[in-house]
Amino acid sequence: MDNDKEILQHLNSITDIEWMDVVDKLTIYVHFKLKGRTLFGAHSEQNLGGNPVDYYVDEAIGKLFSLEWKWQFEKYSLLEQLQRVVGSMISTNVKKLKTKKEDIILMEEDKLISMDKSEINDYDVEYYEIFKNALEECSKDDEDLQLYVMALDECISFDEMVTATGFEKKKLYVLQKKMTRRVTTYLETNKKLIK
Amino acid sequence: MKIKANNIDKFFELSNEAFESDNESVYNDLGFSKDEYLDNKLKMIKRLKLKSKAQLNKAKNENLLEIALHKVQNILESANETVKEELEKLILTRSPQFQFRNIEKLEEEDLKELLSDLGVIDIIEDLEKLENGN
Repeated sequence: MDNDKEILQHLNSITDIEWMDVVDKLTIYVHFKLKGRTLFGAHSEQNLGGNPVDYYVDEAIGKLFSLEWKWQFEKYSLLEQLQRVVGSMISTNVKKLKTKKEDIILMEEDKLISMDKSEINDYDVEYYEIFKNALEECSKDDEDLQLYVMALDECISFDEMVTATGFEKKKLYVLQKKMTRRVTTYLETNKKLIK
Repeated sequence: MKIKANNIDKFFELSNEAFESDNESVYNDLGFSKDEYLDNKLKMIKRLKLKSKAQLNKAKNENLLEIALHKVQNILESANETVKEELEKLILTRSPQFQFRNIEKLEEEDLKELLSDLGVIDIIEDLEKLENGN
C-alpha cells in the first residue's frame, strides 16, 4: 500500500500543463504505433468498439490511476510508462485476435520484457512485402524520397540518416512526413491487397 | 512464415518523431479538434485525480483510526484507573450520548466507530497528552 500511495501521490503531483504535454505526445505515439496495424486490420474500431487511439490513450491512463499498472516513477517518465502500458495492451490485443481467446489477461510488464520481441513485432511476410511495395510506389517520382527509402533500410534513427544521406535532419523530417502521408494513403486505398 | 517487422515499426516510430513538433495534421487525420480532444482528456484526468485523492484520504483516515484505537486499547489494558477515568471524561465531553455506555465493554468495531465520530486527529492529540500525563 505504501508504494501504491506513493504512486498516487506522484500522479496527483503532475500539473495540468504537464498532463496536456504527455497526452499530446502519447496520442501521436499511439497513432503511429497503431498506424501499420490498423491498416493491416488488427486494431480496427470494430475490434475495440471505438476510435483505437482514443481507446488506448484512455485505457492506459486509467490503468495507471487504478494501479492495475504501477508507475515505476524512479525508472520511467510518465510518458515512457504510458507508452509501455500501450505496448502491452497492443500485444495483448494482437494475441487475443490471433488466438481468439476471450479471457486473455493483460500481460505483466516482467513477462512482456522477457517475451521474445518477435512475438510482439512480427507481421506476416506478405504484409511486409505490401509495405515494401508501398515505399517503392510512393517514392518513384521523387529522388529525395528514393534516397530516404534506401536510408530507411540501412539506418535506425534520423541521426544515422543524416550521416548516410547528407540531408539535414529538418529535411528528413519533411521527407518522413511526406512519405507517411503517401504510404498511409496508398495502403488505405489498396486495402484489398491486405487479406 | 513470420518476419520481424523492424522496418514497418521503425518507419512509424520515425513518423512519430517527425510529427512530434508539428502534430496538428495528425489530429486532423484522427478527425479530432486538438484543443477539444486535450480538454476532454484533461477533464477525464481530473476525475481520476479526484477519485485517487479520495482513495488516499480513506487510507490516511484508516491509518489514523488504527493509531487512535491502539492508544485507547493501551489505556484500557493498563492498570492506571486515573488515566482510564480521564479517557472516559475526554470521550464524554466530545460525545455526551456516550454516558450510558461502558467503554471497556465495547467491541473493537464499536470503538473504531466511536473514535471516527469524535474526530480522529483531535482525539489522538488528547490521547497523547493523557499518555504523557498531561
